[in-house]
Formats: sequence, structure tokens, C-alpha cells
Amino acid sequence: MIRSPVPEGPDEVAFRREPIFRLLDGEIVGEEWLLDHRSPQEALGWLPVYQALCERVPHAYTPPGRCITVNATSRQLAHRHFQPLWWSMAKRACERGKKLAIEWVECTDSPGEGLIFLEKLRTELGVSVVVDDVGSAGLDGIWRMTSIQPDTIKLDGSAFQKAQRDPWQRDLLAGIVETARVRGIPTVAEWIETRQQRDFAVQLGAQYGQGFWFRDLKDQEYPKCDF
Amino acid sequence: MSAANKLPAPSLAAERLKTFYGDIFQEMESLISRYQSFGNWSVGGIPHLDPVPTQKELGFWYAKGHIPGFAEPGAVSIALVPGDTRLGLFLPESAMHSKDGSAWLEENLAVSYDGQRPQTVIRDPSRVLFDRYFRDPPFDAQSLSKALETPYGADAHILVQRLAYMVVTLWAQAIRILYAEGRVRSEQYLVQCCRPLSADDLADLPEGILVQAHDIGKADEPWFASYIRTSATKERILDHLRAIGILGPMTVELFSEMAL
Repeated sequence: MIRSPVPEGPDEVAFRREPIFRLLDGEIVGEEWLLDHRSPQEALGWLPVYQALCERVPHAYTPPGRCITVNATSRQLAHRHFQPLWWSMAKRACERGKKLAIEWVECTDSPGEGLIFLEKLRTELGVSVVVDDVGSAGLDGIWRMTSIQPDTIKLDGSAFQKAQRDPWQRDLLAGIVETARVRGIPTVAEWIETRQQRDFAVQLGAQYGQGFWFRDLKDQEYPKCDF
Repeated sequence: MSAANKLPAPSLAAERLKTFYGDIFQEMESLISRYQSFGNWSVGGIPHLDPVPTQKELGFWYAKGHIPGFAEPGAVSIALVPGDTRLGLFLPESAMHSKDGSAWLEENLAVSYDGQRPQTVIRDPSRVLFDRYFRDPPFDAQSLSKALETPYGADAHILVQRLAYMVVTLWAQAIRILYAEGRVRSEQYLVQCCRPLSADDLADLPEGILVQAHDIGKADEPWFASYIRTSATKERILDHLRAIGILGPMTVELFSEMAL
């Protein structure tokens, strides 16, 4: 885990940067920026969070080729007061040669304007689209996956956990991974907490992973896959 | 009763009153506008009062004002009834609570007009009404009758002056108390125009602060989004930015997490 100092910056909004690994060799290929801390006076809204992301993401130190991913709901993408922030973040990242991906997370409603805006960010500023939480018992994973041609699919963490003991859930996830693979879309398995879970993710066909196990491996050698 | 002393027909009386009250309130609004064009009012430190349509023929006048930091607007109302004129101050219920939770803030607001408690306090879940009664001249029946007889005469003029003074004093005194307690907070606005705003651009706005400015245009179409904080109203911000020379298309929007 790459942890920013807390609190960070004048706005007292801090993020933790959770690495995304290639499952076969442990190479870090990306990092998801997750909200780690915000001061109580900032806790009422998302604006300070996205303003902080906008300031920090384009200037963050990341090795060449590593992607930074940030989360957004359809509603946040459709919000006309937030859109300048998304646009500016993507524009500045593009100008600095940074790879930015937006993780489209589930939401109780999904305004179409959000989808149109996301496609525009991809077309005009090279933002990658990650569809998050696919395969869950949640709200709209399959709808989001089929509403846009994603660049990456993330399997829902709780669905991944359940798949290890439930053949029906396992087959469903394996089907999603295979459907994505045929279309050249890589898959990330979330909530990987043990070596066995890493191996299970590989068996499912996922190429990338994310979770506490990787965090704890930070200074250790990455164990080989067992097959 | 002689023919000359007969009361006008009801519809005629209503029309006459409507005209009379309409003229009085129009003149009063004109005076209030002049009050609002200098000092704290001119830069939005005291939120503007915006009249809303009312039943003028009944002597009702009502104006709302957005108090930065509160979702529920404040308002001032007048019921210009001969012999029983009422002046109401509506404030958000959430504005009544002082930082330490004690009742002193509500007490100070209640007496903010002239040091006296209002005759009636009515509260609902979202707001509180402080209602004051005025029965002495020029609000007694005789004075109003004289003003009605000579719509542009001295009595009408005094009435207009008095009403404008009461509205402005009632509203400004209450807002100043809320300022003193730190309850009037600056709010965040999104300004989009052809150049990024700087801190200097906002120096003359009350509590004007630049949060962030973003270049969101294309090479041949410069367009910038600036997030600012101030306790000025949207209209005041727009007027101010025009006054400092920002030309071309411009939008100023109060930031809302819920806006889509």
C-alpha cells in the first residue's frame, strides 16, 4: 500500500493508493486512488474530494506506464458542476503523459448524460473506462458492462469471495471473464487476501488483481503461481 | 347615506386598493433597491431581497432572500392593513441555534429590529416567523385613508419611506447578528468564462476566495472553470466580474451536490 501522509494538503483530504498487480508476475500496473481521510467539515460533500483529486492526480509521481484509476458514479459524471473537474483532471493528465482511468462504479440511478460524458472523456482525452463491481448482487454491473465498450472490467470483491465456495457464482464470473477475454478486455479480481485467492483468480482467467494480500507483499518476493 | 358618501362598489374598491398598494409597494421597492446599492448590500454581504408576486389588493407584500449557508431562504413580509399593519421576518429554523446550543441567538434575532420582542413568534419545522404589529401613525386607519385619498401626496410618501426603512432595518439587523455569530457562511460557486479567475479578481467580493481554476477549453476556444467561495449572491458575482472587465459568455452557478 502506498499511503499518502495524513492529513494531506490544506483541504485535509487524503487518499490511499491501492496497487493493481499483474497476477502472473506481481508487476504493479496501476493504482486505484481511494478516499482515506477527510476532515469533518469536508465530510458533507464530494466536491473537496474531486478538487483534491484534480490537483494531485496529474502531478502524482508514478513510474512510466502505470495507470491511475479514480472512482465515479454515473450521477457524478452527469453532474454539470463536477464535469469541469473531470475534464480538467483528464486534460492535465493527458498533457503530462499520464494514464488515467475512471472506474465507473454502481449507483442507484444511472443518468444517460454520465455515460455520454464518460465516452467523451475517452474519445477526446484518452481516459480509459473501467467498469467496476461486475458480477455482484448489486445494482447495475451487467448493464454498465454492456452500455459501453469497457477497457477493463473489475470483478466485484464480494462476488469473487463467494465464487470460491459457490460453483454457480464461480461459473458466472468465469463466463464474464471469458466474454471479456474474447473481446480483448482484461479483467481485474478484487479482494484478493491470500495466495490461494490469487491462484483462484488466475484459474478464473483474470489477468490482474487487487487486495490486501498485495499490500502485505510490498517488500517481499512475489510467489510464483502454482500452475 | 347620501350618494356622495356611498361606499364604492366592491370590485371598484378592490381595484382602487390594488392600485394604491401596488404604487406604494413599487415605490418602496425602488427605495429598497437604492439601499441595496451601497455598502455591504452592494457586494452581497447583506443578501438581496427579491419580491415575489402577492395579493397586492389585500396589501400583502413578500420578498425572499437567500442567506448563504442555509438551504431555507429568509423573507420579509408586510400586511398593510389599516390600523393593524404587520411586518414579518422569516428566518430558517436552523439559524436559531447558536454554536453552543443556547437560546441567546434566537433572543438576539427576536429583538434585532428595535430592541423589543415581536408580538408573535410562530415556528414550523423549517422556519420561524417574528411578527410585529404597527397601529400608530402612519399605520392607523386615518393616516392610511389620507394616503389613499392623495396617492402621490405627503402621507403616501411618508408611508413609503417608513415601510422601506422598516424592511431594510429588520432584514439587515438580523443578517448582521447571523454574521457576528459566524452563521452566514460563504458558499461555493462555479464560474465559467473566457479566462481563469485570480484571487485579485475576487478581493472586493465579501469573503471572496479562489478555490481552483481549471482550463477546460480547446486551443481555439479558451474556456475556464473557476470554483470560488464568497458570501455574495450569484447576481452580485456576475455584476462584479462584468465590472472588472470580464467580457463574453459567462455563467455563475451556486454549487450544489444535487444539481444535474
